[in-house]
Amino acid sequence: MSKQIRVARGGKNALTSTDPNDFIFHSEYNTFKIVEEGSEEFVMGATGEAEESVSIETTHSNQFAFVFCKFANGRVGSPGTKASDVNFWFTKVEIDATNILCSYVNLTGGNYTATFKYYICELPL
Amino acid sequence: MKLVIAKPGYDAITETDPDNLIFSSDYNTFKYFKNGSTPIYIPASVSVFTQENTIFTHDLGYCPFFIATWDITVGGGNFSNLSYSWADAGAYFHLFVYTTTTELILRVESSGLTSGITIPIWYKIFKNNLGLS
Repeated sequence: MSKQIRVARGGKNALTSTDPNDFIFHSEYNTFKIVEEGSEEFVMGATGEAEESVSIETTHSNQFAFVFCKFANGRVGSPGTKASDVNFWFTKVEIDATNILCSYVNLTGGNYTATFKYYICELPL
Repeated sequence: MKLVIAKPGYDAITETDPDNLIFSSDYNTFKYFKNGSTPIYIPASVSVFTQENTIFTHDLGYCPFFIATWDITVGGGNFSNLSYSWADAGAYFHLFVYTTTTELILRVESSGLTSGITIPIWYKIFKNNLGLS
């Protein structure tokens, strides 16, 4: 029998519980590791759909990205979110071996400044 | 010094690929803070309609990492991540989720909704600071 490391939630028994939700950590279950994170601010001109490229350092072959956009009014949303005060959309995210591509639509009629925050994780398989 | 737990068949001392590790203290992870669900009512409105509701007041003092989802079939068990948009001839329906330094907020922008609807929202907030405050 292999050795295990288990840390149970309060009120749960680390020796007998079998529900993964009862554990803070359990060495039988993979953890979702963040391999790189960062942020970058862009000034984006008025346009239909376009994209900004964020260079990444990680060379890991299987990559998965979470990206958030901080809109100019201070609110933060995920892909598919429009700023709540103007017609600026953070539409989607793609990731390849060297870049995260953050797509947007700026229908404000002028430049729009926003910051993208990214987390690159191992591919959740 | 670091703590590494390798997957079966890999050597925790020499392995460097995070895919082959269960845990490594070299890599940050997401730390749960709160999760929950709340129903939000959206009234019928044929004309352009906007509404904002607080999903949860986290009061963390910074913008945290979050995920949110809703039951697109309202009880049918088909879930979709938020934010979410739908459009058809003469009608549209947007559900946007934002975090601020104090709240998780749902914003609805719609037109052409002929009947009211109560939508269930599920959320998970993590302690991880987005660093965007």
